[in-house]
Amino acid sequence: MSRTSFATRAAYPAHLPGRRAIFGAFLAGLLLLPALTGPAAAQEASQPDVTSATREQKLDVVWNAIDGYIRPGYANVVDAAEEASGAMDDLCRLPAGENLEDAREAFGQLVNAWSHVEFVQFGPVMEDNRGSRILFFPDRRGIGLKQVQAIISGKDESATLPKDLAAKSVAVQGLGALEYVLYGKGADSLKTKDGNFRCRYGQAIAGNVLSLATAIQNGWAKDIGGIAERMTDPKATDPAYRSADDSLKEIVGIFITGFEAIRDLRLKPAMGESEKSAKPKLLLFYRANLALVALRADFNGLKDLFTASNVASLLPEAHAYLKDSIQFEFENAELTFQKISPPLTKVVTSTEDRQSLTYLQIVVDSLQTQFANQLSPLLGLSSGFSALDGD
Amino acid sequence: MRLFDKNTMVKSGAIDRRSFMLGAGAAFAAGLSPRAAAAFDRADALFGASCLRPDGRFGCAVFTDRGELVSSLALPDRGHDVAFDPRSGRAVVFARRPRTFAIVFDPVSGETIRTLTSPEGRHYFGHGFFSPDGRLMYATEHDFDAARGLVAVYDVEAGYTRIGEFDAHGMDTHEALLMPDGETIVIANGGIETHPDYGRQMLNIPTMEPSIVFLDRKTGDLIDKQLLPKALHKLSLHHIAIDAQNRVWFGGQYQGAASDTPPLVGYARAGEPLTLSEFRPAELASLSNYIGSVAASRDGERIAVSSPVGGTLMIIEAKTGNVLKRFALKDGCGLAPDGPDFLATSGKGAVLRLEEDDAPTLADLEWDNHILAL
Repeated sequence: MSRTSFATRAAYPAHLPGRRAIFGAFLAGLLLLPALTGPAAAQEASQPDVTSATREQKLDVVWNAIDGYIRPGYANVVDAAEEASGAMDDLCRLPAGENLEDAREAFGQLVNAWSHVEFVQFGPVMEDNRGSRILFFPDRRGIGLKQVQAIISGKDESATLPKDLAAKSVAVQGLGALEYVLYGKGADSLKTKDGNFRCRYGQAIAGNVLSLATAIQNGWAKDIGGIAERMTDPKATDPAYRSADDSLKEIVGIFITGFEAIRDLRLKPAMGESEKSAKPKLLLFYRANLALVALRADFNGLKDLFTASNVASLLPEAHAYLKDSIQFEFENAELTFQKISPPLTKVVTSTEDRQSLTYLQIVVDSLQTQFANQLSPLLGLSSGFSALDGD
Repeated sequence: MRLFDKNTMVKSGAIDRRSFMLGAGAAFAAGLSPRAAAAFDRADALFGASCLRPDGRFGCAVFTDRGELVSSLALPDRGHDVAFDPRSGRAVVFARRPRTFAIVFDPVSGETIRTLTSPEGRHYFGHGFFSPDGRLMYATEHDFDAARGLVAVYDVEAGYTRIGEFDAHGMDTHEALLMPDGETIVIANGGIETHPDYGRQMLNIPTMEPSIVFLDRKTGDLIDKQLLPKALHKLSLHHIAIDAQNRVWFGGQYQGAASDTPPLVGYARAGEPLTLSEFRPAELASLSNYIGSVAASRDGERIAVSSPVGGTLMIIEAKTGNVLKRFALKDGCGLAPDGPDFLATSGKGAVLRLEEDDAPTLADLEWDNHILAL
């Protein structure tokens, strides 16, 4: 049988136990739905390269992720948003250089806190577009920027009222808009009374981010009847979380989504093919010189999730090395970050400095591959060739 | 050959084996190797699909409903759906987005006849079809800087020259089919903005606006555009199939919160608002808010939908919208009519004739999302 021919039932030689096992597993998946529970378990047991972890062990990892990473992560966002909101209040009350510095400092902390958990893209953050309202990026066609500029130049008072602001375009009510208020063209007016409208708009944005973050936090805080219960007590009637694997997949998906986003949204567009084709203005938070802060927080967040969830404890014994391998890459990323000095806008356009970012891209690819192509299938979560997004 | 006869039209290019043998199929069968010819002879029909081959290369394969390989060709990158012109006996495999190639090939030998490249600033969305006379080929494409979906028109006789493009009146133009009248194109616009600079990342979830659009295939004139109700604007519509009553069934992929349980399947008719099917909670749950493929039976009386995410295949009675049967198939996605029933494939290599107690065949490769009955 050539490699490209089809393996029919008759073509499975009995002396190839691996194939038979796969085929048996495959058959198990084909019965009509009402008979699913038993065969599904048989399927997992018959594949030596897949975890033998129990439902409870898998759900423990889900709990760890929720309690040790997601909940504290959002609590930090709420705290940072309170600080940022307070700092904007102070700035509007007393427009002065020092208060502007404090507001900018608080904004940086908020960016840091948000980036730490930004790749959790399920649960309360998905309701009412909360995630996109906190950060809408990339704004590829610059529509959001134009909307923010129009609000400021037209002194659109409705943008200073929390309720009205929340109903506007997602691009004018979150971190991107607040960055423009604090660092965009004309931001120095915030030091004087001339910047009053701009400041009140920024105040409303900070307040909006605070209420969005609080809503997300509250959603995760519920032990009964909320997302935490749905994920840690999956039921066949739940469209999203029918089994422990569904919940675990969501947690592992944070890494896969995260590294993909870092590669496709954060690094690649700005880096271009060379320093000549680099587009530094495509870096997230380039105005505030927080691109590196956000990127580093992204990595730290994913590393914290890896540690807190203890997801590697589910690996089959023969593949336990993957834990060290992943940790090694996280450390490589950290060492690389230590070598980079901001601003990233300069780094991407410098032949020499780019090397470290190029290396970071390699680390991202390596981590992405380890999570998507190794850890995920070893946990029996491989989404398969067909189950990818959209197509 | 009355390819678009109301009674036989189920999906662009789909014909039964008898009609196929009367037309280009005779030449097709004559060109097969003895083993492939024997496979073909036993088969009720032949199918084409993109795949990932065991050698690690992306490819496209022609196979029987028993999973026997008739031919295959390597592709430069991942392919998506296949279109077939029974008059010339040629097939085209389109690149999966955001890639820029489409390959015209001979399904008998697997030989590449021509490689098409989308023009500068465009990429393929992965689907297409031929005009009933085989003279024109239509492909869904993306004008990505403008985030505008298109249906491009290719002149087959002029060596597949791209002779024009129609505005698809929406973003993320995915599957397009020819209606049984042979004159109207129906399009599923997924509504999601992407750009090759950002890989496959979705850039406009808060404002996405999926739609079903009907165009005149000769002029590109807009005949009708139907949107989902506002509360369902995150239900991306990518896949469609046409039933016996000319209703265009669609399957959605929900981009909103997982706690939502939106309807996922419905049908469109030009000039009428979209109709959504109601499923029982357990049926809906098994689809995991994601439909990967939609197909109609040959008689157009039944619609099959698949959810590779939920590992579920479902057959629906077109007349009533009721669920007739459910099957579990891990990563099952590809669907096509096969005799009176359906054939399904999975990303794990399964080739399965639904409605039969037969054991499925496990191919030595991974199937992409769609199969086309040649």
